[in-house]
Amino acid sequence: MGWVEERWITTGASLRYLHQSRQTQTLLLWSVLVVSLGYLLVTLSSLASSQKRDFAILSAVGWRPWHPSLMFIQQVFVYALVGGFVGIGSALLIVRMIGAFPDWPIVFLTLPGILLLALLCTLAPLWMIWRLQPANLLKGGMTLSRSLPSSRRVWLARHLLFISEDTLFTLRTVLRSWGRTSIALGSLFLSACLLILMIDAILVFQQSLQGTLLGTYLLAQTAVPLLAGVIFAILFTFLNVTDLFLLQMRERWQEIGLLQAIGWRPWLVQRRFIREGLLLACMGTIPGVLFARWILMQQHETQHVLPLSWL
Amino acid sequence: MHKQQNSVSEAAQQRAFLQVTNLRKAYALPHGKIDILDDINLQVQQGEFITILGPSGSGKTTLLALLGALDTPDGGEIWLDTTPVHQLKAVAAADFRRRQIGFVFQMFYLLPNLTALENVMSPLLPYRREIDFNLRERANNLLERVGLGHRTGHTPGRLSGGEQQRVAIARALINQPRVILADEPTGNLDPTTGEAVLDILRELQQTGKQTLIMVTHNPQLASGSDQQIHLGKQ
Ligand SMILES: Nc1ncnc2c1ncn2[C@@H]1O[C@H](COP(=O)(O)OP(=O)(O)OP(=O)(O)O)[C@@H](O)[C@H]1O
Ligand SMILES: [Mg+2]
Repeated sequence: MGWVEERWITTGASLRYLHQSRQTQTLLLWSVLVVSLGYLLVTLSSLASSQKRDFAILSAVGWRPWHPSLMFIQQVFVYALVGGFVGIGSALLIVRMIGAFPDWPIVFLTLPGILLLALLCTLAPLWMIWRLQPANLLKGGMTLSRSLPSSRRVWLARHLLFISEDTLFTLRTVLRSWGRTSIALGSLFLSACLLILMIDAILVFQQSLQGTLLGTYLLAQTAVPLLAGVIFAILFTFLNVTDLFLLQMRERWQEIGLLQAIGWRPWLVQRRFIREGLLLACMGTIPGVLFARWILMQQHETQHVLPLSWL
Repeated sequence: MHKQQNSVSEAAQQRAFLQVTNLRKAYALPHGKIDILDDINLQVQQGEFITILGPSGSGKTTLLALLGALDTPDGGEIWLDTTPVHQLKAVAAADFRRRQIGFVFQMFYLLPNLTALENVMSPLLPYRREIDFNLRERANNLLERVGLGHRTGHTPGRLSGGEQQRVAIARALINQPRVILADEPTGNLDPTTGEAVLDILRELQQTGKQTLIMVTHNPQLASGSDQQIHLGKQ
């Protein structure tokens, strides 16, 4: 009798978990999608920005305004096509290895979907290319420097917010390409959030189904794809942030050379980059963790599930 | 009265090959507008060699950008033959640059991922269907003439400064422009290399009967030109 009762309880718990995990799975899927879209955007704009100078030269020697844009779209198209084929191919391979059957309509819809997404993501870079002023090329600098904050504002920031001039400099360089920075921040936020939610879900599940055969089976069935998704999202975030820094490095090559030329020691320059990385990581991750914690609090309160002792 | 009208229409007919009248250009700065070019007038005949001189910041580059339709003036007119250069925008400006103008920049501005030959071909690459000659052949010829026939497959990173500028000269001539605009083309080269590059540029310009307008800081070179334009600091 006790045995039957226990069985019922565990089955009930797993059903409930399954329901919950279906929700989280959808959430996860969307988050992974958003993070990878962000990655795509950052990559494409860095691609465009690395060719800014070339496009300005071509425009000066007489290419019509849309030709550089066309060239860029073609590039992206080729990348998306190759990437799409490789991705679908490896996905099919994995499905084959697991022994499952692929959902063919979805497989066939994926490639046009990828191409469409890639083209949508070219809009922002195209705008940048379109606004290039070839006349600036003659004047030597292709760096489109935005106007610096006035000395009065710098003074205010330093004295009211107690920010040192050095930190202010770091902050300003991180925010220099604010579009890309905010995407990277968003990815960091989502990844941190997802990681916490997933770990919590798995822990809760493990507690409620400890020891039963069915529980272990269910855990393996659902936790593994969930974890894979989270790892995917984190990987993309990592790439996102790396991309951002590589890009800034390239754009600031001269600045780095100059700083060293006027006598900065190399590690001082490196420290500047590390500091920027840490700043960015904190700005993205801490809100993500706090947000996840808040969600968990809400969840545990309304559903009277287990306490989140681990947080 | 009658006579005056006559002279006006005559002037219109006898407009110089390149005619600049009352040209103005100002830039908006945080503390107000500043006139860089103020009432510039020029008359240039076909095949002439013109030098532009003046202190740094006097607007030499700005004037060159206006002449090449890279920028639009705030006032005045620029006529190249029958083309109102001052009115050209976007597509029309690009077509004008591709058909009539060859640029040579102080910093070469070659495309780093293309070979010397491809760089020379680059202005016309998307327009191959509109041209009636063999682009590759012409590019090869030009590279021969600037003395780089044996380096056509090299990327700019593997060429010296003087060689890069010679590639840039070949690129400026690929469209057989009527006007060559050069902004301190030897500014980044040592005197001997610079002289050699100038000789090549002058020779090609004279055989092609092109008008050459060059910004320079070299008074000796300027004294050998057909016309000197002195810009003063505003
Ligand atoms: N986009 C711009 N916005 C504001 N001011 C500008 C801009 N471009 C040029 N200027 C100003 O116009 C002036 C003339 O510039 P220009 O590049 O034509 O000088 P230049 O005669 O070629 O000088 P140099 O011999 O140093 O090359 C300079 O004072 C410069 O600061
Ligand atoms: Mg200049």
